Amino acid sequence: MSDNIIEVENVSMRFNLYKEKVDSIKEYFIKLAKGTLHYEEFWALRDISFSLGKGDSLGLVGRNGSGKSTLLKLLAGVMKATSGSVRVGGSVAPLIELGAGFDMDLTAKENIYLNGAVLGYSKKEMDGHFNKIVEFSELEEFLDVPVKNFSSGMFARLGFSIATVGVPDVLIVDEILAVGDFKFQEKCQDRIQSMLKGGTTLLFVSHSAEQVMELCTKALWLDGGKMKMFGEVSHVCEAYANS
Amino acid sequence: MVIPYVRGFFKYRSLLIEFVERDIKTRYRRSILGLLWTLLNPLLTMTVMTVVFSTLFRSNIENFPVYILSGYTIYNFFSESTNSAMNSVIGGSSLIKKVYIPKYLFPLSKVLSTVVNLIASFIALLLVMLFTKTTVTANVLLIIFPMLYLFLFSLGIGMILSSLALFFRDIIHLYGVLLTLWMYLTPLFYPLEILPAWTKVIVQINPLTSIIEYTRLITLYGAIPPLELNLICMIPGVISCAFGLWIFYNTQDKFILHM
Amino acid sequence: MKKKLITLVLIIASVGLLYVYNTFINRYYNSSYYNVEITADVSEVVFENSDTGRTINIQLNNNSRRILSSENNVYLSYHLLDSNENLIEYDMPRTSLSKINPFNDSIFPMNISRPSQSGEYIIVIDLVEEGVCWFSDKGNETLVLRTLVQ
Repeated sequence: MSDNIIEVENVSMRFNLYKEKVDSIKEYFIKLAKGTLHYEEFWALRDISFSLGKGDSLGLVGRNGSGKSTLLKLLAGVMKATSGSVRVGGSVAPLIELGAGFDMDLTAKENIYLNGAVLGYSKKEMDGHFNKIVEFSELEEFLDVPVKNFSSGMFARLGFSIATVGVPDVLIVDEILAVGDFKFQEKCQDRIQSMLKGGTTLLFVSHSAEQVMELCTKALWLDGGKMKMFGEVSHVCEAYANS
Repeated sequence: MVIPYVRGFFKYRSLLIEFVERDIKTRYRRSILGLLWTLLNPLLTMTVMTVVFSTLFRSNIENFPVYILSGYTIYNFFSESTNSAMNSVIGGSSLIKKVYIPKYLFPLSKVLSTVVNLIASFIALLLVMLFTKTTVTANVLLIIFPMLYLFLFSLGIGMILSSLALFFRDIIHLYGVLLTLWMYLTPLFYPLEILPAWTKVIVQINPLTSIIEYTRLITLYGAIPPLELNLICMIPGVISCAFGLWIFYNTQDKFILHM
Repeated sequence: MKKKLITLVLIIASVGLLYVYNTFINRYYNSSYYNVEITADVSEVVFENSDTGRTINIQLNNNSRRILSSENNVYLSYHLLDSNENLIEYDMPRTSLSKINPFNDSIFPMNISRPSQSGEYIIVIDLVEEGVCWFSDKGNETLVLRTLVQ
C-alpha cells in the first residue's frame, strides 16, 4: 500500500481506425456481409508506467501526436485504457479543452453550478464557492449572459476558476493557459503554486519548456506513444530540448 | 462491484438534479403557456380522440374519456421518455469527451424529467374523472405502482437505446417508426376483446397494455388490482432495467470512441 | 467464442422467459368471467310461522375483469333442495343486480320465498347469465345455506 496518488501500470491505448465511418446499422451489416469491415490498429500509448505522490507535479512534454492528450484523458477518467491499469486516489479536476462541462444555452451563473456539479460538488458547496469563482474569473458583469457569447479567453478564466476553487487532489491542465492574456497566465500560475503547496498533484501539458520547468518537479517525455524519459524536470526538459 | 456504483451515485446526485432541472427549464423556457401546457396537452388529445373514436366503440366502452386518457398518459410517457433518453448520450458528448461523469446519468435524467410531465397528466386525468362524475376512490393513490413499473421499464429501454443510438445513428429514425407501431399495439382507444386471436397475443405481451390495465382498474373501476397483475407489470420493468444496465455497462467505455 | 456462447444462452433463456411470461399473461387476460365470491350475513335461513319471505344480504365479490350487472343479463338467484340434497326447484326467482365493477364488491338484499311445506331445506345461492349459463356451470363456487321452515 503506497501513498502514491497516481499509479499508472503498463498502460496501452489502442484506437481502431475504420477506413470509412460506419455509423448506421444498415452500413454495418452490409459491410459485414461484404467483408469490407476493415480497420487499422493505432496504438496511441504503449506500455506507460509511472507513479506520482501527493504534491508532485508532472509536466508532459513531447511532439504533437505523441499521446499526451490521450494520457491526460486516461488519467481524467474520460477514457479507459485498452490494457494496463490507471489508479487515481482522489478527486480530479480536469481542464481539458476550453469550455469543458459548459452548456452553451445556459448563462454563466447557471454554468458555474453545472460545472461544479460535474466536478462532484454539491449545490451547498457551490453556494459557498460562488463569489470566489466570480472574483477570480473577473466576470461579474457577465453572470447572466449565455456562455455561447463568450470568447475563448472568458471560457478559460471561468473554467480555471471553477476547477481550482475547491482543493482537488489532482489538477489536470492541458494547454489551457496558452489562451488568455499575460495577466491571467500569471494569476493562474500563482494559484497553481499555492495549490501545489496545499498538496494538490498537478499534471501539466505545455509547449513552453519554461512553464514546465517553473511549475513542475518531474517530467515525462512521450515519443510516439512510448515513454522516452521520466524523471527530474530539469533532466527531462534538457534532453527534450536537445533532441 | 456494486458499492463503488452506489458511492458514485451519491457523489453525483447534485449533477443528476442539475440535469433534471435543466431539462425542465429548457422544456418550458420558450413556450408561453409553459407548465400549463402539460395539463392542456393531454386534455386536448383526449377530447379529440373521444370525439373521433367514441362513435366506433361507444357500445363497448363506457366512460370513454377516462378510458382513453388513462391509456394515453401511460403511452405518452413511454414514448417521450425513451425518445429523449435515446438522444441523451449523443447530446452529452461534449461533457463526456472532457470530464468523467457516470454516463447512466444521461438517460436517467431524461426519464426523470419526463416523470414531472407524467404527474401533471395524472392531474389532468383526475380532473376528467371528476368532470365525468366517475367515482374517485382512495385506490387512485395506487397509481404510484404503475408509475414505478413504467419508470423501470422506460429507463431500461432508454438506456439500451441511448447506447445503441450512439453507435448506429439510424436507430433514431427506426425507433420513431417502431413507436408508432407500438401505439397501435396498445389498447388506447379500442377494447382488448375485439382483437383477433394472434393480434391479441401480441397486444397482451406488450408491457404497456398491462400497466394501462392497472391504471384503468384503479381509475375507471376504483378497484384494487390483483397481485397477479402487479407481477405482470413488474417483470418487464425489472428485466428491461437489468438488461439496460448490462448493455450500458458493457458498452459505455466505447462511447467516447464514437463521439 | 465464449462471448458467442453466452449470447446464445441468453437468447434461449429470454425466449424461455418470454414463454413463461406469456402463460402468466394468458392466465390473467383469459381468466374466467364467471369468478364471483358469494357470501351472506347469515349462515342459515329460518322462516318463522308468520314469514312469507325472508330477506338476506348477499355480498358479491367480483373477481373477474368484466362488469357484472343485470344490464349484461347477470342476475342473482338460487336453487331449492331438500335436506337430502335432492333437487326440488332449479330456477328460482331472480334478483336484479346494479353494476359491480371488476375486482369490486357489492351487497344486495335478496328475497327468499317461503317453501310451501315446513321442514328442513337447502338453498344454493348462484348467479345466472340469462340465456347462457349458471355461474356454477362454469365452476364458480355457490353459497349453500341451511333453511328451516317452521
